[in-house]
Amino acid sequence: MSDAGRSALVASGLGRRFGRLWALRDCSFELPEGSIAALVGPNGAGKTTLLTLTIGLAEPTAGRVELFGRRMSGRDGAALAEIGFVAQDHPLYRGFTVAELLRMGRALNRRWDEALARQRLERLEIPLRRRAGTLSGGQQAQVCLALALAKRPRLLVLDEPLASLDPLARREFLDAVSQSVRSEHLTVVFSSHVVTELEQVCDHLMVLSRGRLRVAGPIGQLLRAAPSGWGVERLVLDELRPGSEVPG
Amino acid sequence: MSWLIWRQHRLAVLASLLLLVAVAVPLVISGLAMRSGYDQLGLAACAGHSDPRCLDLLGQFSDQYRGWGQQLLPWLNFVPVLFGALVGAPLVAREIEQRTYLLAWTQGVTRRRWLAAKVTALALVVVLLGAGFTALITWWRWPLDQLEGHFAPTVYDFEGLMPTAYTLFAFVLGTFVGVVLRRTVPAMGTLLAAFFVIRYLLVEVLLRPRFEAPLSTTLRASAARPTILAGAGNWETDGGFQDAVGRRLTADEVNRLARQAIDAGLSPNAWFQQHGYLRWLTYQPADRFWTFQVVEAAIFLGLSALLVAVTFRLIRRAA
Repeated sequence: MSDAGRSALVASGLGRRFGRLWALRDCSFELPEGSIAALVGPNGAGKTTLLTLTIGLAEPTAGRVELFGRRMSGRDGAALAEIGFVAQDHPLYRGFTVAELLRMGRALNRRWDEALARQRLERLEIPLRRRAGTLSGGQQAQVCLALALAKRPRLLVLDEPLASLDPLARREFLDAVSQSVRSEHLTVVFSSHVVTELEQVCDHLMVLSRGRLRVAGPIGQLLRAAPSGWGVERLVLDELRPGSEVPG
Repeated sequence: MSWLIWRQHRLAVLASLLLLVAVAVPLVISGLAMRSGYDQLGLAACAGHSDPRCLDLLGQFSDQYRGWGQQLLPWLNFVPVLFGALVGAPLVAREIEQRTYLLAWTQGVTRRRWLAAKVTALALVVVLLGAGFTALITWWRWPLDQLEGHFAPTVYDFEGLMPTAYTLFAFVLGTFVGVVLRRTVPAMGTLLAAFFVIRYLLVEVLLRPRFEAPLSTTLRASAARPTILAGAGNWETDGGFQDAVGRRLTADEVNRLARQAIDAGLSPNAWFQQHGYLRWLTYQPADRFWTFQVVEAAIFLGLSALLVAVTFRLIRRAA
């Protein structure tokens, strides 16, 4: 882990309420720069809520998010420039060609690495003339990733990026993410409700259940504290065990 | 951002232009015919007169063309709100519906700036559409305007500042409803209903007659019911009969007396005349036209500004 000590992402007392229901409550953690964190939890645990607060798409009801020492807010253009986001099901303007999507990125970002995006897409043999709606799910995910990376973000946030992909596309997508992390010095957070596929790429783990953060920390450290022979999956399952909930 | 705005909204803009063309075709055809009829009958000389020859010519012209104005024009009340539904309603609603707001609002531009750029550019587009629509109808109505003015509600709504103000308001209202409902088609439907209530019931029926106190006058009971010529461009807001001491008759009384007249073998007007009744009228004089237009346009601009402000507040929490 490089740059240990400098935090990329700090959440303190973070909470978001919808009506009377807290989708996320009392969530505090720190993520060092350069780490790749997996945010794990069952469906409806509050993963997407946490991610939307992280990227300034929604404002927290309580607490705050700091990104590289700066308070995150959707009203702060400079803060938005620091994040790259790939949403669940990778939404794109379906009628736009890939080239038009790139032009959109250029229009909406002061910092924009067109060459980077084009190289990625060329390597993946995704033609720029094709309309986004006619691409396969895996290709759409890759286009979303290319758009997010061309922003030259310092934090990459991926919401269930693998959920709708077939095994081969998953593999390619994960490869693409870990490659760019190495070459571009990114911090990455991604959510998933499947644990096994994350182990190979992640060095941090956050487990979320019913709107509460159950555990957060470097995977190595967590495994050392756990009974010997436990893997990440066993660790996560243990945290999600109904009896293991912290009262309050 | 202008390329992106054009790319995303070009279909809506083209559909609006198509609507304008669809309206223009019958208007140009009948407008040309109406103008040549106006010239052939020499009606220009009759504007403001009411001698028998002119009344006769006017009758001929009215028979031929006035029906157009009465049957076609009311439908055109939908044009401004359709512009608003096509351009305004999907502006935010479609982004939410298709989940592309997740893409649009996580780029390096804040949501406020994104919305401001779109609303500004598209407001300009709808204002141009509204102005084009106004020019078209004003051209078409020219012969009729010469004869009857343009203050009656069926005309007033289509000339001067009104169509442009209505179009801008419908666009802003559509955007607002789209943010609230988060779906394009329900937003379009709601826009139509809300626009009808505000623009017609609230402003046209309730407020407009009160912009200034109407004038009133009386005429001989036997005077021909004010014709399009006698109107001289005034907006007749109300009228009826009054007795010799100036008490206005109710509709029931008028009916009863008219039946009495017919039983006596007289035309009601002649009977009313014989028995000392007068015809009363209240009206807004023609020279108030622009005052009314400016007041009403200001109301719709004010409402639009308010809606824009609320929309900007709402979009902060739209995700």
